[in-house]
Amino acid sequence: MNGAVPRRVTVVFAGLVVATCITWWLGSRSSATGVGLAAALTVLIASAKIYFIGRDFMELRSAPSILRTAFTVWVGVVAVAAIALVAVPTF
Amino acid sequence: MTHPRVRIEPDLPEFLWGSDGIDDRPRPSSRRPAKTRPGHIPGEAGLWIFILGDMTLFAAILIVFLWERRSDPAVFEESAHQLIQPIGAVNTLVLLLSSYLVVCAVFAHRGGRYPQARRLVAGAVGCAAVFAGLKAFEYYSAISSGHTPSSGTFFTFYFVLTGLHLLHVIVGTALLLVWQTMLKRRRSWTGSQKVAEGIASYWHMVDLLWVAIFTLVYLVSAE
Repeated sequence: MNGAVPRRVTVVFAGLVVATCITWWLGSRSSATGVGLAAALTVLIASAKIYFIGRDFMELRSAPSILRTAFTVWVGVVAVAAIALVAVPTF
Repeated sequence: MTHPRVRIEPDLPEFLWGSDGIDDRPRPSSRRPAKTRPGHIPGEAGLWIFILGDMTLFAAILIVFLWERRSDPAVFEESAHQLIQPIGAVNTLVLLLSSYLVVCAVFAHRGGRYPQARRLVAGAVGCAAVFAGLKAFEYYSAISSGHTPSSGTFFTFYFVLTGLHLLHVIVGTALLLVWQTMLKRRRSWTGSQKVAEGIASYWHMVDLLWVAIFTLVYLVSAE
């Protein structure tokens, strides 16, 4: 092992920066759109960011399946709960 | 009376013929060795119980925050607009950069490039200092505008979430400095792998939690 950073990690970092700019833009434009769709999309993008931080930065990609599954379930459950709470209207 | 047939596959080793009488169907995948990759746990296994527990604690607070927001979205929206959103966004980018530097430091340490690894960890510590400085300015600005933890539900959650997170940043920075000391003493990767990977994983958790806080407190609440 020569210790070189895989190109994939750098690509993920660039993707995370772009995704942050997109969510920021969505957040600043939301008052114009005025719908829960923008909020749900923002949460969805953030969940994807968290998933990639875990998979490629925390190196869960090569971790035992129980650890990978626990992390993925955490991201999934939090994402679904958050999207439901921001997108489903109150009755 | 029927007997299980034994299929002989001349091009396979004998132990793959399926002669145990349980399953004599040819299996295409039996030509390859079974996937028995156990996987590598970054850091100590026990650390991951703490990391997942900590993440769940933050998730619970954030879910309660969103639940409370539903009861009075207008007040939450107005309160969220009082926050300095660009500072939150810049802090997100700063922590992402620090996480990337930590990943690079892990690879440099693995490769035995100690001076490079030290510079990268120092860069991550610098990012943590920028984050804390911007957060201090944000707190100063909020408090001088009359927003305190007792100013309402939104600001109670805001100060609790960001305060707990800032505590994690401080602990993480101390751990990064421990790692840097190890690098200064040129501790080999084999002798310090668990500690270095554990510190890196903790730092990534700090980054990951901020992504969730920024999204829900700064962005979604303002929508």
